[in-house]
Amino acid sequence: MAGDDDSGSHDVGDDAVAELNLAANSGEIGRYRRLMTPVHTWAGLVAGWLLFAIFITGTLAVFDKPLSQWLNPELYTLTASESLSETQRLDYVAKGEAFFRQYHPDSGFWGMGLPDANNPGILLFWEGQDGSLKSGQLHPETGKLMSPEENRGTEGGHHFVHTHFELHAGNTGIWIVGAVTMLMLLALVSGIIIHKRIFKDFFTLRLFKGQRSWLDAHTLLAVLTLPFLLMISYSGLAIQAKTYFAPAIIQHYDAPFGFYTDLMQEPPFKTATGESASPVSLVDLFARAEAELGQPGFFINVERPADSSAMSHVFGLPDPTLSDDNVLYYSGGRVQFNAVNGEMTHVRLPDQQMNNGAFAAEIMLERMHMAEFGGQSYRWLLFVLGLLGATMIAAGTVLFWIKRRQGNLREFGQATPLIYRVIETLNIAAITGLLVACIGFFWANRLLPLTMPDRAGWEVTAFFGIWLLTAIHAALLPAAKVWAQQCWLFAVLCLLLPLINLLTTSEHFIHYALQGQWPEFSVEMGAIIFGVLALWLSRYLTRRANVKDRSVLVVEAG
Amino acid sequence: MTNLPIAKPFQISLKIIAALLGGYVFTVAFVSLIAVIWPARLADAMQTGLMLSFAVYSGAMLWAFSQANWQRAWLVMMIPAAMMWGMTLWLS
Repeated sequence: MAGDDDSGSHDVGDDAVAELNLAANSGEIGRYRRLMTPVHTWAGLVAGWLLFAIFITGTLAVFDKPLSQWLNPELYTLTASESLSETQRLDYVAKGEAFFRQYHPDSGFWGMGLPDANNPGILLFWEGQDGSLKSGQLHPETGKLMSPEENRGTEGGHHFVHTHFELHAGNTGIWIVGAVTMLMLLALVSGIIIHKRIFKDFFTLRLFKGQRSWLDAHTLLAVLTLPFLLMISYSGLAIQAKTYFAPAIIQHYDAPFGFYTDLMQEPPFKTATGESASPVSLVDLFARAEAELGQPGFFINVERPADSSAMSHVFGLPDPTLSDDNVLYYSGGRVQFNAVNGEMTHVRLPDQQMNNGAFAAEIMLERMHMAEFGGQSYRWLLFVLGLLGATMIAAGTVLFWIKRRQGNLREFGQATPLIYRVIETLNIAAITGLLVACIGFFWANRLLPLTMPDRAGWEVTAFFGIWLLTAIHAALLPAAKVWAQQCWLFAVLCLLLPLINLLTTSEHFIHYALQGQWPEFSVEMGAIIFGVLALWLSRYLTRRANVKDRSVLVVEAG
Repeated sequence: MTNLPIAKPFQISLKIIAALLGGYVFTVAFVSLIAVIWPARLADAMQTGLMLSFAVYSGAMLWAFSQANWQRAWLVMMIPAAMMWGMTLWLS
């Protein structure tokens, strides 16, 4: 959103620059540049509202597992196992299998993950009566489903992953996120085209000069993070290309899944027959798969366990020592079984290379997007770049608004003031409102009663409910005040997070540090750092809002 | 500033829609064609098309935007799309 011209040449003193811009804007390239400018402004604005949320939740999702440890303290009182013996693994599979056979024999899907360093319970997934995916954890010792007092009803850090790629709205959400990401890619490319002085602006940051500062911040951050922005938007789209371009796939295949099995050179996917059947022993399948792969297994599933078409997959644990040298083909392998007669129908060995560059490209993009290689330093890099990217988007959104407010553009005729007011409201809700909703999720996690039904769902409802309230707040009060108030609220909720944790779970960061619980410690430290920054910003915004009250019209004119 | 055309948000919106939807149809036709003309077996060729899809989509959208108005933006998307679709049908 570098706006309707290139370099903030609204300013009277910049006539010379404006002349130069006009000269550069004549001719064929200049014409194209002029055409791209409004595209950048409007594509950026409309996408920006959701993009800020996608960036912030994606940034948090980088650390979904540490966040889960803070969000589910009861579960992590169990010691997470570093590695399991064969006896333990088969014992856990037997416990999960017994649970499925007893409570969900007619389910459409069973899935079971063994305990590991990130998750201390036996993780179970199954398809509920209503077709939705349910999950729970078995206690590794007793094999009983863990109660809400042992395993808090929460999505944990995965809530942010869900919001990031599908807005908790399933396939519809995936399409909305895709459209917004495409607009971002477009805003990036058009931004590069309209921006003539990338190198010079790299060294230009005029702070606290109103509109110019916003423009400088927007372009500086965008130029600084450009490789990351292009990588993250392109990879995010490409790893979902199978979904987005399903219409092209079904011109050549009966169903998108047929393409996938053909690509992986696996037997065609079977469909339900309607004849009832019962799967063979999962413990047996698991043991045979481990022998075949020469690698411990860590996940087993059964598709349609009650149907005669039932099939099972056992996934081998990826060997972490191989990952850095072999980043493209890093995989623990997989064995496919006919789950009714136990026949082994397909084997993919660990680190088996695929003779297909395009498939390797997808794996590479996925690993880059999801921080699946490079360890902690790459995660921190993505975290910082994600925050800078989000700030760039926010600065662009604010810049759009400042230009509109001080100019006397009549873009929408009579409706202009009303439409500007709506845009202003959405800007606030999209930026400070989203931040309040994110920290509100952590509060809901501590405040909702442990035993309430569908607790995990209520946490998500709280997240979206708070977000909606911030939009109403923004619609009702003057904008300058709302910016300051929501920023202050975010700061207070961040700074008091350790206190509410202490009051509800008797845990605090000193204890975390003494116990060496660094993930939990880092979550609280992170909240305090963001709280201090937001408090400082809210004081600046409050001063500014008060200045405006004394009817100074245009503070930003500079 | 007066030399620059004032943005007309409705015109621009129509053009963005033409680029988004028209570009999408264009890219579907492209991926589908790549699946049959890329020198590899069908699934690998399809995967190649899918990995290229968003670069092609971006390019198509920029092309649509370079048109003088939104009607022309639709035309330059739909005519090549129809041609690629026809070729795909003819080859497969």
